[in-house]
Amino acid sequence: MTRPSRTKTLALLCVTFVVSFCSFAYEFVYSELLTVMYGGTVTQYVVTIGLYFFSLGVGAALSDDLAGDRPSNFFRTEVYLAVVAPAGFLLVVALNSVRLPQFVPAELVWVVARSPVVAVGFLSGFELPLLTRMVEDEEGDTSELLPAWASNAVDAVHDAVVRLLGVFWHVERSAGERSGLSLVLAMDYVGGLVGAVVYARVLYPRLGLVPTIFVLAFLNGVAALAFLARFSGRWGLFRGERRTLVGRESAALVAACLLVTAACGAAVVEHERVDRSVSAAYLEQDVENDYAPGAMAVTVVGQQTTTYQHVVEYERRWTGSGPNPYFEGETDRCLRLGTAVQLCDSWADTYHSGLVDVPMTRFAHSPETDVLLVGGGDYVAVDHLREYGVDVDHVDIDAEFMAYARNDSFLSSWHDDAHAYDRLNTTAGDGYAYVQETNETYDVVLLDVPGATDDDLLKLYSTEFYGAVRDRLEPDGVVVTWAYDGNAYGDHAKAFSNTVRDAGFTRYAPYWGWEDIDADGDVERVERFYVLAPDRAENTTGAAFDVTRGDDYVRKYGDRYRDVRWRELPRYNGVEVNSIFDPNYDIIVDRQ
Amino acid sequence: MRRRRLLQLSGVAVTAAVAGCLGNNPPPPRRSNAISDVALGDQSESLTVNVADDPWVMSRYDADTSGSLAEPSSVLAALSPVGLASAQKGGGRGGSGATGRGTGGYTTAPRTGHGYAVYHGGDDDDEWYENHRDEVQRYGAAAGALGFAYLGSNAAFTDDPPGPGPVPWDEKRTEPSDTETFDLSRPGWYRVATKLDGENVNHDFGWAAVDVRVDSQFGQDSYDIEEEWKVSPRI
Repeated sequence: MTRPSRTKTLALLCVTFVVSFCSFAYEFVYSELLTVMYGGTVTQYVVTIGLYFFSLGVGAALSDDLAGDRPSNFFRTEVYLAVVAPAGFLLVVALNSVRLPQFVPAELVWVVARSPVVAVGFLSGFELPLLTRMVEDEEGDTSELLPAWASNAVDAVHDAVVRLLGVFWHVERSAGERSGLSLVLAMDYVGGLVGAVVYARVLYPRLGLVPTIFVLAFLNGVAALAFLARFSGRWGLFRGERRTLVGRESAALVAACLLVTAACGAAVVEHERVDRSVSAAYLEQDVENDYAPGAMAVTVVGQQTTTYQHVVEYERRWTGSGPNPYFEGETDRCLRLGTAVQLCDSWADTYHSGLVDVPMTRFAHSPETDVLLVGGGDYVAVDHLREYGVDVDHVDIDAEFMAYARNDSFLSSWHDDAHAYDRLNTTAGDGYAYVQETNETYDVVLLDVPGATDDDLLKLYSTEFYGAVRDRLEPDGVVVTWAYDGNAYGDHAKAFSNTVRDAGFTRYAPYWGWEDIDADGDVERVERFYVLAPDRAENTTGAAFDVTRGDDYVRKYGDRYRDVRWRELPRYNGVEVNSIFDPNYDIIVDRQ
Repeated sequence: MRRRRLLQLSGVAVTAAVAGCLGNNPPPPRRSNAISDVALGDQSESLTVNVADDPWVMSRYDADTSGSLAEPSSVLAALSPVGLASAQKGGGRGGSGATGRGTGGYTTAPRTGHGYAVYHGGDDDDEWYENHRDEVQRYGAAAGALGFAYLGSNAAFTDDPPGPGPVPWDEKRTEPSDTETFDLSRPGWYRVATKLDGENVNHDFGWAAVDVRVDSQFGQDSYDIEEEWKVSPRI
């Protein structure tokens, strides 16, 4: 093989590595993006990868029709990818950042949201066949691609692998030259592996989704320009050499490639600003979409990404034409974890009174009472528990969020440094694993966990989790959790009821947190709660709470808690139990 | 030629796969007959609400079938109303519930046997009930209370239309008679709802409601009913 031919082949293989790197990473970016937007990790990843491979197949099947000018068509493919991939990303974000008219069918939105996956897959499908043909078109012995020492090392490994293969197959060691297909496929899989690892370990955790899509598009642009420099007959650096591969690209397309690559490069350099701008625009509209059009204006005032979730602080301002039914005053400060609202100034106190102060009327206010708090990384529930002098074991998966909560001024105003409570034992770990492994038993288990908006949280709503919690209860122990109201979230409520019942909880006392949150003179329901007890539990008949032992909040609304009675937890026909190994996705709350 | 065939088959496959992903429709609104009629009273300045003689509600609640009623042939043609949910952590006040009420969807919404537009109703509701008849039972219910509330002007209601469930009541009759009357004070949206307790089963079926929009008659103090929605939780 001549030296120019060897460098050209090596150049093609390097380009193969880069485009495969990008191709695999695009798949993950879109899967994660759709998960963030629509929830359901498993569903989104499975559908995205399925559609992506299907589109790859279609592109590959049509690639023979691009044989007219393969170098030029490959260059065009890379330019189109550099444009389509980030544009598709922003399209999906935009779909979730604007309020679509009601007549737009959900099916159409579903299809449009997946169209970037199909487009990128389709374009990527051209790449390997084109590269394979171009490598095969190059003259010479591909065994001479590498320096002698590298070739020897590869040969040694090759010999060992062939001997191993010989144990299971009939093999005939091929000497020397490898086919263009095997070389390109090998480089494709190596690029894919590196792409997956770099995405998972570097790009997503360190940069986030938005900058990552621009990094990948930038790499596609650079690959196109490198290809242009090596193979273009008009724009390349080797115009004088004799070759079989010669691309003919128009000035307009080259200019477009330079522009797109430069734009993506600038976005990468300014990735923090780009990330915050795109995220804030999306998040603000996402929150506003929870209300009627024009009824609420939202401004993001801070955001941080931890290993487990995106923390967003924002202010909401009522802009509706009628009285504000949500809060008193001009604005209300809130905090979200991912898509689940965690805390708002207007109802934070009422929520935690319902979660902690109401059920604590059942138990001694002393260190003899053992409490397990699952979740509650904002420490506000701990602050309420501190008032009763009880022992608290606290487990939350997100150590970064807990550190954020300890120092954040907004959350500090609510938890009053409760993390320093001397009877608090905090564990940074998975609540599900904790209840499976601990030998402690508890009088009260408080579940201050995020809403069931994502299948990552399925296990916290599973029969296995509740079964493990039941096993950790004292004979008169109970579980307290906030709950979705069955009127608004019927599917979830029925699945939850059947799941918890399957775990052995047959008694429950449903109640509300009450407050006049909008200061209109009427007391409103703020949050729904359940106290759950196993069938073997003591004291699960009659009144659920002893109001006389309550704090100021419980006494204020004593009439509403005095008559809360234990009931039989209902079971519903035709509703599956949610199990870790047999999930019932109805328990996931649909936000769309 | 083979490639074209491959593409055709692939298209069929992906269409089927996509259809599978889109096929998870939620159950339809619960059916009941607790409120048989909502009409204007004397001088068109009040609302008259008729409570059904023998209220019933359809539910997937499992009471070992002993408390359920035999299903009449007319049951699929009947209907009923809703209440308010407030789960703050679960997403605002239980979702805006903006499904046409106050936003122009009244004329195209599916209707109940009494002529109410059905909140969250769909063309496939009958089919769902037919396909799930083994899971759904009709329970006799007692109308435990009747609530009446002004929900706000049309503009305010459009900003924050409450979903199914109870709302803060302006008036609540704990032992309602067959016919109850509530004075209308101003134009806008009103909710009338009745609390449904199982008659032969120890189960709280929640509230059944009708949302009504009334508007002033031109130049007069009396009102016209412009919209009537039956607002029920999904079964």
